[in-house]
Amino acid sequence: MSTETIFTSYQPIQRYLALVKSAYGMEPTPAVPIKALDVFLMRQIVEYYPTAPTIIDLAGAATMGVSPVLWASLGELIQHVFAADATWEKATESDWRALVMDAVSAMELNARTLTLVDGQPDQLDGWATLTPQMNRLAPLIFVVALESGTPAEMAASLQRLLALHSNSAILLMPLGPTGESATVEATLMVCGVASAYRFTPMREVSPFFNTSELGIIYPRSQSELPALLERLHSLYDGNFRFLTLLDANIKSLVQSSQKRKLAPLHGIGQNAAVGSGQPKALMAIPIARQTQGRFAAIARKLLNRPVTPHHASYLQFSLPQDLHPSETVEGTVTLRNDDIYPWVTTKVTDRGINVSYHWRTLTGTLVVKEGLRSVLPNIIQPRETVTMPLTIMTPSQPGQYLLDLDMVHETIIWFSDAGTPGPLFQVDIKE
Amino acid sequence: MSSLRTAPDGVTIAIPNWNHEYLLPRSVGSALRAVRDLRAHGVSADVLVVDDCSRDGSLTLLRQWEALYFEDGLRVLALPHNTGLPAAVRNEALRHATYRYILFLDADNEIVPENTYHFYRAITQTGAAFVYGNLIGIDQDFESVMLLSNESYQSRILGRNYIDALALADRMQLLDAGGYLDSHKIIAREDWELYMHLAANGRKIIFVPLIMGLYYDVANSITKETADGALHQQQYAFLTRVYNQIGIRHNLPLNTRYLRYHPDVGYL
Repeated sequence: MSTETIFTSYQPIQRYLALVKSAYGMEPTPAVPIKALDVFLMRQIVEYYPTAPTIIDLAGAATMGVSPVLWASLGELIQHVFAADATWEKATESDWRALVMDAVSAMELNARTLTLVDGQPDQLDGWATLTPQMNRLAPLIFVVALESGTPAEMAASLQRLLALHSNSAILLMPLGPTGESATVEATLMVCGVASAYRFTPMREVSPFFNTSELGIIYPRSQSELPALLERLHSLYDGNFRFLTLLDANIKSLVQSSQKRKLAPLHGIGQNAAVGSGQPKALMAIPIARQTQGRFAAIARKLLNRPVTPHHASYLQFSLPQDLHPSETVEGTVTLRNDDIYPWVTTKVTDRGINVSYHWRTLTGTLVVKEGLRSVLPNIIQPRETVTMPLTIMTPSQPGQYLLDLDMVHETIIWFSDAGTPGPLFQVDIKE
Repeated sequence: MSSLRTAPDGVTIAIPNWNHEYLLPRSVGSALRAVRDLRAHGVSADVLVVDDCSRDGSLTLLRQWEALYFEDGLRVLALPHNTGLPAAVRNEALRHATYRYILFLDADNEIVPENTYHFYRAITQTGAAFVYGNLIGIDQDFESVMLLSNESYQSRILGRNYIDALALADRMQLLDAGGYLDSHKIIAREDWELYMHLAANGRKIIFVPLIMGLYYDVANSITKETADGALHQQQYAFLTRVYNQIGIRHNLPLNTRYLRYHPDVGYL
């Protein structure tokens, strides 16, 4: 199992940048900075290649030496790295080439895997000079950092590189947002639907890579890279989703709390039991719900997830007596908007607020998640109360249940998940 | 940048983890909030979770979080083989921590984020090897609460440890002193051993009267598993042999005896 992490992959880069800063007294500012996540992804791509590839690194100048240092730090994961200068500027004492060689020495990297090359492989006889030094059996990866030029110029550069070797891939950066990035436009010119090449931005491989600025271009005929990308996706595809984990934790806590504290009940407006003849308020179970609410709030805060908060007070509720299975009945509920913004009814928008409910067993197990929706009669302003009908369908089996009142911000979140669980009522469904 | 040679000023919150997937949100969440608070005070900080080859899904969860929160300071070190020793995992944290000061937080506990800065101030002002504070202990049912790590370093630590591992250390002093003793002889007691080792070598271990964190009494913890009478006796015998074989240690000079310090007041 791979134990490489973003932290460990980025350590050589971090060290290199610290050395440069220490030597020159200022923070290095490359034209194309490589994100720690992208360093990790490049390393993993290379590690997952069936055969150690040869790297032709054209990103040295734009990344101020970071890219060649990364490849030089990978040791036996690569055949060799040829760091070519994509400009025609003469080397100086303090340019990226000098920095890289000094860093290789200071960081005790394997200098034998790194060759600095003058000129560009796709210009003049650059390729002919390079090929005799390469392992002909190793797959080839170009590393390109496009910092300037029109999309057409960039596309032409990419096509020239791909034409040099039939089994090559290109690691390309930085990819900006679609519609605002010349690099992305250039890549789409090269990798159209009918093209022999395919383009995958790493941010599409997993939602956890959404900040990546790295992309990969490879021949459609090559089957190894899609499998490699799928492996990367699986590495980050866990067994649960965060909110489901919270829900499971909360339910577990509620169940253990309910087992001890279910007995004493307190009304929320009237004190009458179900079945006494008239529609009356039912008993609530505030203690268990308080536990659930408290831990939900803590869990949310701990994970620092951007959850829309919602606050409501349930002031009164009544339901007809004598309930039977699969029956639709109408009760009455009084609510107060404790949010700082209005509750917009779904009469106005599909993403408005509705009142609803869940059905649970007496131990808290969910029986019916999606209760019928009752529509707010109008927009409810902050601190305003509303009394409205509440339509409920009873469970299909007779027995004793907990009616779990809730509100829902449609398509976004249940109020119980957003900080305000509703009251629980014990209900007897008779045959 | 982790290195045994350099120690940039700042705090790394180190969380050793072994199969505590469902408790990580609490510990890591509190650590990230502490990092945010430290950075707001101009102190560089990060969180380093050292995973001892967990099998329960911890590593996948940590990878996901690292990708999301790397810029917020979350770092993950996945050990290739299970060491089985908390001491070995903490030593890996010492070797890989980015900054000079390292706060050890067990994966089943949490720190009080707003107070971490004050412990940082205390350790930088005193030059101590360790500073520690009060812990609020909470039992498994969340019903009873107790106060832990409530006293300064005293000779009675030779008989029983009362200072939890949750403490802020000067990483370079610990490395110079050899780090944690990673031996099965003292498993789950390595923090106790290290405190006595540092004190015996003239280093300062200082109590700061602030709440440092929350200690949760979790079922099946390594502390509970090793609370067996016979094993505990063996460990006590071993440590007594090392630090107090002829019973005179409490009469000897000790640089760190009774040291209590508050960063806004000074020594108390």
